[in-house]
Amino acid sequence: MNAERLILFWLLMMCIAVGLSLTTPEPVGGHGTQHNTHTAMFAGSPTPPSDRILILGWMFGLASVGLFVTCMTLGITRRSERSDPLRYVLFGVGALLYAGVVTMMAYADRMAVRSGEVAYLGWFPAGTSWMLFGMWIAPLVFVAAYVIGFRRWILPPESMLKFEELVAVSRCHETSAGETDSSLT
Amino acid sequence: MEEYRSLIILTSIALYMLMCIGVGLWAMRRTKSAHDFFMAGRSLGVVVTSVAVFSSTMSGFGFVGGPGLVYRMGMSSIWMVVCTTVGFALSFHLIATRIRLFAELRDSISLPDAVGARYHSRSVAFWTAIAILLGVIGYLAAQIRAMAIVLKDLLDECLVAYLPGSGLPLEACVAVSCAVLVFYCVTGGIIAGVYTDVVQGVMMVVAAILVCWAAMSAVDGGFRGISETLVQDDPAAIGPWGTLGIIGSLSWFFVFALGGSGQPHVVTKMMMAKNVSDIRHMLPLSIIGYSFTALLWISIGLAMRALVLQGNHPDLTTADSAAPQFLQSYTNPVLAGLVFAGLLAAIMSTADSFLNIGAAAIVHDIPRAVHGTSLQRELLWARTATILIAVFASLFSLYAGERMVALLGAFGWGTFAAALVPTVAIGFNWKRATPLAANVAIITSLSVNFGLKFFQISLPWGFDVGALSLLLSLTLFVVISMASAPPKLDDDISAVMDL
Repeated sequence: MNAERLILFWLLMMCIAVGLSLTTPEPVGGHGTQHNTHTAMFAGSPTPPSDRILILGWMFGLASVGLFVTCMTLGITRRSERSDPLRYVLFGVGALLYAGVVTMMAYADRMAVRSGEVAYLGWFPAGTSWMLFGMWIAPLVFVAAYVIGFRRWILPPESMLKFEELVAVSRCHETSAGETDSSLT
Repeated sequence: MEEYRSLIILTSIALYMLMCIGVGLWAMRRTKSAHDFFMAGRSLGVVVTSVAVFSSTMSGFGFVGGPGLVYRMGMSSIWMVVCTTVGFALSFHLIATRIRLFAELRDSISLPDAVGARYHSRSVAFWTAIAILLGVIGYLAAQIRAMAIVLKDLLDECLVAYLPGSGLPLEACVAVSCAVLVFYCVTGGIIAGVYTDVVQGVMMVVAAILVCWAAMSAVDGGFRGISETLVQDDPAAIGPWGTLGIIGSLSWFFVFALGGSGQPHVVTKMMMAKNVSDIRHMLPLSIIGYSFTALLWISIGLAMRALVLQGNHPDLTTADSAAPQFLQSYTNPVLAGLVFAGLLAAIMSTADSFLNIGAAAIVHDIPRAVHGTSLQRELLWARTATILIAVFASLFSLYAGERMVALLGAFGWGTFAAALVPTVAIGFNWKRATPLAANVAIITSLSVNFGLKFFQISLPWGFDVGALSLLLSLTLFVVISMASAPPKLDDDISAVMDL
């Protein structure tokens, strides 16, 4: 399956997850209520989210990650004729790591909601730590892929040479078109 | 030192504004053509471009609205910043190199220029320019209003101390703040914009690190103490989804991560790099800069919520006062001065970019899309358009009513994301993308975003309107392109897309 079809697949998955979520009846205050004592604060929903909404949210999160990774690969698909195994390793590891963080975050939060007890991981509740540190740090793999792969598969020297030729040809055309214009006037 | 707090803060802001004027005068000598005015002559180095990219992304919203949202909703709005790493990674993988190559190949001086070349279509360039112009007016009006309100609060406080009973009208504060902004944007164009961005970016990073430290010190037990206080009151607020819940929070994650690739004021900066090969260093630098500034967003909001819940700070009447009240109550005057100047820097660094791309849309993109040529004496008209846009946005921010300004301000990010992510981020990497699909994506994004916001229709589970609009426009773009015959591309464009 090529990147474009995979993008369509993830978009359809997201549409399904969003469609099912939006058609699921929402309890009063389902996305937050006014805080009892502080006027400018909201509090969480008085009704814990159902498993259906948690699963749909998790699906939406995973499909978002899938879409992001596929979009990044679309950005480099045609850029190198050389097949570089490191590229597949980095994107594969990055995708698995990122999807794993989304899953761990959703799982830790569900456990906390079900048990009614908050387990800490560092300074924050476990789900929040996964979100704050995992979601921020896991995509660094893609950053590394960009920096390491810039000269290997994003813009290798041979592509840069081709580009310089294209620019030279384009400038030649512009110059000759300009000369033709001035001779006409 | 406390008795001079207001004076110290105002002096910091005055020094900052003088610096902006100085940079404007310096940049004026380097601005000799429309190419310099809009593209900085494509001569920016790695550090300058990286700082310009992250400081344009972090607007005044991040320094005032962001902490306010954290105070109000707990962790929900932090989804807008934890997507920083993946958002920048997406922007660079999809756009940075490609748009820079297009800009050099076709000598483009704006995003719609490059879009028009890619699709070989004036209508796509026209709709791109219209989407940009609408977003610019709304965003700019919101930024100008925020800047004037901050300035008025500070000036009033200072005046009350020395001249009891006096106060400044909002119009005067709009005039002062806009005059400085317009001065350096008109004289130095985008060159002044990016070099002030560098100073502004550095100030934002320093301010954010110091404020984060102050926030941790203000609450007993630091972040762990904050967490425990919030858990005792309402565990959802400090849970990963905040009070908004899983669906709403993830919709923000989606639109803020992918939407970064469609922000014209950021994408345009990527076109200005001197060397294409420099771009690989810009990605980590931009992420580091933005991540540090985001510390302010997170730390002030959480600390103020904990302080109010503990009864150590009076209840806030509006969430947006979380940042100003924290700075006035828990930081020393010099740091407060630096952060207030940093706040104006955050607003101005975004506003100057919007003024520039708005002027480009009026004097370059729309005339080219309609008549096939841009205006004669483009540099003069660019300067005139910059003044006109600033005046119009100022009047709009003062007299259109808060709801209209908020509406168009909120319209900005989601509209840019929904209109330009398919057209630019996907379309520049996919030869099958057609002009029809691009036009449909842009028009859908404008209609859905504006329609739902205008009629104040909120979606169940707090799902973000901008996210829905982006999902729809992307899906339509891909489906229409796949269902259409492959478009014919210019040979050079096709060759660049194959690189």
